Amino acid sequence: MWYLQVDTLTFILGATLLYGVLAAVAGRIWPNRRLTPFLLVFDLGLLLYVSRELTAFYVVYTLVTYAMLRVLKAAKGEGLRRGLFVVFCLLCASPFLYARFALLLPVLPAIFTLVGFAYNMLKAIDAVFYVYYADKDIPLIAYANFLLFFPVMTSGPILRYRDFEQYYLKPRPVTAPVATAAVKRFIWGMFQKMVLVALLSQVLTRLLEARLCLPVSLGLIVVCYASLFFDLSGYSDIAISVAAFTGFVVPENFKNPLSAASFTQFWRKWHVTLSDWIREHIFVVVNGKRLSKWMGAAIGMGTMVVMSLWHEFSIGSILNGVYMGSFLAIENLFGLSTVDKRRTSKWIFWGRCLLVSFFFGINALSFYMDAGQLFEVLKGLVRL
Amino acid sequence: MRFVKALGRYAFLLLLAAALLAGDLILTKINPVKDMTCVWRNDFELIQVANPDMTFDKVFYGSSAVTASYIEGRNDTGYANLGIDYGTVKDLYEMLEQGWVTINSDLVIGMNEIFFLDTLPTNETYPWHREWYEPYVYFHRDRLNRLITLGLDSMMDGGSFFYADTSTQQRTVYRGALSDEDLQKSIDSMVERFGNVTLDDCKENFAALEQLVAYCEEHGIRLRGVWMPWNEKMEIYPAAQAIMDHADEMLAEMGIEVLDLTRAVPVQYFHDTGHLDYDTGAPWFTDFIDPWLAEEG
Repeated sequence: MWYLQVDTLTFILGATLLYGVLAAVAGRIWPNRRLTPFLLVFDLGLLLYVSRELTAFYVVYTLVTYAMLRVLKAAKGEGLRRGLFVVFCLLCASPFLYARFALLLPVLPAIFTLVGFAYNMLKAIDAVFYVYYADKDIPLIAYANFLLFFPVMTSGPILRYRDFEQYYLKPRPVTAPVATAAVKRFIWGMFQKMVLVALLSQVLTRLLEARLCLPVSLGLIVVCYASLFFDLSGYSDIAISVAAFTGFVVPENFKNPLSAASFTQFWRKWHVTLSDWIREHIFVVVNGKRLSKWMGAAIGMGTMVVMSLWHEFSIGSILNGVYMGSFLAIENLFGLSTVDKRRTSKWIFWGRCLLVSFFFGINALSFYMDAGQLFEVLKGLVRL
Repeated sequence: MRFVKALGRYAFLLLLAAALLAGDLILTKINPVKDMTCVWRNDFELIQVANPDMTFDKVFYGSSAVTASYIEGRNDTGYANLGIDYGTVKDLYEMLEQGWVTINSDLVIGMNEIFFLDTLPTNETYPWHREWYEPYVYFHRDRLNRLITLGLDSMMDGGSFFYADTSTQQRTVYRGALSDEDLQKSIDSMVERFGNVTLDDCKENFAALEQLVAYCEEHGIRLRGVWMPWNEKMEIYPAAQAIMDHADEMLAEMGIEVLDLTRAVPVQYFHDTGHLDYDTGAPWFTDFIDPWLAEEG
């Protein structure tokens, strides 16, 4: 997490400031030119500062995946294009899959230095989708900038090429209000990550030492939910605010998830860019957009299992995915996916929001304790 | 007029930057952490508290081996004990170079093999480790974080936020002697940690030794070295001997006088492998070395 190390943070903020000033000056001299292609210099500089091996990996990965994009664009015939599309998507993910299997099978040597790759791999696959479905070229420099864009390099939010391209071609001017809002958001993001998460971790430790009964278990669920939220949302705030100084609007990752009255809505408000990516790139494409409720249920379950496996290859992750997926499946099967706030009684609406948060909070427990402790916390829910 | 308007638009950012910069400068200047009696202070800070101007005529510098062995003021030599935990020659050079310490006339370095080891874990809170880009609060983050989190813990237990009182904190010394079994464990641990080090692992400290000699020449400081005592129950392992031999060669080439006390202290005065028992060993060692320290150059 480069934003939490002062040397890399200094690099990032210095690069951002320098780029902002250069872009402002260049904008005055050459109003029709843009500096966004030169962001690549900062991307590579940061990578080089952190590790030569990491830089070599990302340079090779960028060139190899770019070659795939060229081949895909040049391919003729739908059968060949479709075949290449599937193969290239798998190839983009191959270092990630290898690294995950290497964790499970220690006989496999750790040959890749991967930082942020779980996120950047999804961007590379997105570029393959873009070339295949939009049948458009991506210039090499634009692609390298997209893949290595430093504000979101280590942990997202996950950009899609079409969103990136919009600001790459026409960056948003960094005006005083934009800069002020970005700095405020940066401070708030840092506060969440550095202060709130640390304090909640103290509370968590204290609660785990207490006798587990209903109020303590509920407290643990609330604390784990809040810790996970502040951790991820804090990071997203930092990344979004840094990106703002480069003229890019990075999509929001958290949109008030406490106001989700169903899990279907919840995943449109929590780690949005990841759940959207999985839904759009895997299931919607594979199954088309008109879905039966059984297919919807299966896709919900599949999305959650894939998302959990993306976090970690383990039995626990699969169980986690099944747990979260079962809520989506039930909502699809019983038509509970969406709730119209205006047509629903306030009590029912907020009651459902509370239930969604409660069941997600149980999921959040798994990020902060082992299975044995989690089981004890759940037992505490039925003990006064 | 346009300039004033622009200033107004960026007022928040400018004020924030000014507040952060000014705050950091003030904190750096005052250095409140060294005076806090609610955090554990490092050896350097404890020396600073006792000697606010950090200017000394004669200094006996080294690692905790020096802290534990030499009793400052016991005899009339005028040497100050500047032993600091994990102190290396590189630390000393940085302290002098950055102006953390001023030495007027005499400097004696208490050496052992790990005194030259680049890979020796250091105390991260020594001020010369602070990089130019590290704000004061960030540099002291671990201790401040502990102060807040443990303070809150203490409050939740019904205690005070300022749970620790370090007003009487002193540099660590050692009392008594380890049992044979514990001593053997300590020896095994040292050999395991440092038994395979090579001269390559000391490059930076050897370079710092050359720089230190040059610094002392330039500032008219008489520099001498002492090989600190080893417990005779512990053999000097080959890696340590190689480092000591190399340092000896360097010091001889640069004309630095060295006193070898590796096997000079009787075994009953040791606490462990290289620290002396402060009640018996340190007085013995101080009385033994003071005549040599007092010799005029």
